[in-house]
Amino acid sequence: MSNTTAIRIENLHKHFGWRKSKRVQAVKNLNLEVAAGQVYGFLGPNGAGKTTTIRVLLDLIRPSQGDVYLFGKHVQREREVLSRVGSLVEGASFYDFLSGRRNLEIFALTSNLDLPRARFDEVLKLVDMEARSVRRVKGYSTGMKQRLGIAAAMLTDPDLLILDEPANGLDPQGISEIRALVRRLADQYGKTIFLSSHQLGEVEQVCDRVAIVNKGELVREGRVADLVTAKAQFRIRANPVERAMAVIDGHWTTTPQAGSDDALLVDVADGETPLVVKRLVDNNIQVYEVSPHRQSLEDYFLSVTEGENSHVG
Amino acid sequence: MWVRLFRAEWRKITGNRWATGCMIGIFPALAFLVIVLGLLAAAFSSSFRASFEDNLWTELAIVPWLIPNNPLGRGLLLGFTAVLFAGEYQWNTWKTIVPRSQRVPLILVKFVAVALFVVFAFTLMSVIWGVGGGLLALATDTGYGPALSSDVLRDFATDYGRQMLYAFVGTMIAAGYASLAAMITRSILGSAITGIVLAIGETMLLVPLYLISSLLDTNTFLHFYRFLPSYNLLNVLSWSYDKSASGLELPSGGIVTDSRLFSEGVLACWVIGLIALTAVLFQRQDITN
Repeated sequence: MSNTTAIRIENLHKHFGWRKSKRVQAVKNLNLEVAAGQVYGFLGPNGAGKTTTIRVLLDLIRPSQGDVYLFGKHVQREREVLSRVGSLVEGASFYDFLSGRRNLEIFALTSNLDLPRARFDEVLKLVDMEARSVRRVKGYSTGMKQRLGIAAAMLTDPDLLILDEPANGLDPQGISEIRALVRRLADQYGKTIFLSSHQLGEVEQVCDRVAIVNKGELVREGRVADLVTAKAQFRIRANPVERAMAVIDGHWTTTPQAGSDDALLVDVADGETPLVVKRLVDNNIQVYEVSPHRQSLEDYFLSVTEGENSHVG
Repeated sequence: MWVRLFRAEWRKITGNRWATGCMIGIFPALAFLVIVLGLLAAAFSSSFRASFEDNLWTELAIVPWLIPNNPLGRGLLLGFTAVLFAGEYQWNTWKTIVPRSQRVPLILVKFVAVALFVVFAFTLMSVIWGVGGGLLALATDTGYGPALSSDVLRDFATDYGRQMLYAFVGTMIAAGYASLAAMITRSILGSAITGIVLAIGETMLLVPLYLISSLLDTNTFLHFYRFLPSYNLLNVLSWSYDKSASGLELPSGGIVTDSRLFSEGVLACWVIGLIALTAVLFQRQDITN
């Protein structure tokens, strides 16, 4: 196993509950490999097993079966490897009776680090929390807590950052800042980032690769660019659209475009588009627009999770 | 590592002013208040001055150490420990801390921090009480012996150290109950209530054991009680004050007594056992909340 592999998950199974009848299988035979230096998206509907997997990665819970390696070291047997990991799991949690800065000091001490004052200033500046860090966490907004959580994760200058929904509770500007921060950490500082997020648009913009899990199982894995361009599709606006679908169906696969009354999506290679248009025109169907349709990660996500869940988590 | 973990724990304790103040800080604060009120009464009331009696500083300074082993003191200690242990679950902070550190040192340092903080608070109370007693004696013109001598100091140091040790043991047992309850309930209130039920239940166990022994006409069941912390704490305190065993009355007649060494051994086993059990449970636990 190479050290250029930041995360390696082998045959991971995790179930909760002792009694067989009430047992919940959260993760089923998950295999995953994340190369160092990547921004890796981890997607799935609510209850897909994402947070459970992240908890196993951080040794917060023990797998029922299987192994997890971080930088080539077994996370349960060689726990010291976790000192190379920063994490933010299911929202940031702090001692709300203490100030933000005091919380960071405690996290540094529990990481066996006596950091200079400048390091705290540095990470607080990174998340724009310098001025508010002397206030008690009790008065922080969710977004401020989230930013402080990222500061805590960055405190030890980790090689791997595991971020579970880091954009939760942030305003659009905050989301954009996190996106830029994540990309900068990977590009400039060579950090590996394992990111689970609700924001599929953000994932698409920031991640190099993604894994999609559903019902505890890995359903797709690959480069974002490959997944979103896997299908060659064209968007055609025509009238009447129902007849247009009937004329094309059987030759090419068509689907009505969601949210539009007069448009359909046709799975067709670039060179065949004139044939589709000719067929429509020959059948007295008015064609207003033909344009390449780029499948978004959200489209792809919904297609592979078979629309069983209308929202992601 | 241990020192840094301890510093982190100490900051959490001292930073949680409300819980720490209400459950532990209240004792030295109350001692200070009583002394101040006494001094005011001595300044303005001749009847108070006349009714004030001679005291022994060797006794007054030791009195605070009895608090951790009385029901009110133990209840507050259980609450304090519940906040420290179950708070990590309730505030969801374990998930941030646990990946950064080894689990067993984390939990062991919590015990050490609880114990040292309690010792610090009661030492402070003891100083306030002892010095305050002297000031009151001056204000009321009463005696405050015995006079300082090497024998007096040696005896005082021995008694003081022993009371401190028993208070420490009582604190550790209360902390053990509350920490175990915290592992299971994962809530501060749940941990405090379960801890108190365990502590009271253990004392009250004497009643059903006595009844069963009487009904079955055997002393066997009652002998279980001799291995519980409350009986042994009472026994060591009895040895310390009365120079004799507290004794356990048997249904068949007669009293069984145990030596100080026996009780100290049993208490040591309880302290080590409870801490070890907590550490093992924590080591194997899924931190899911």
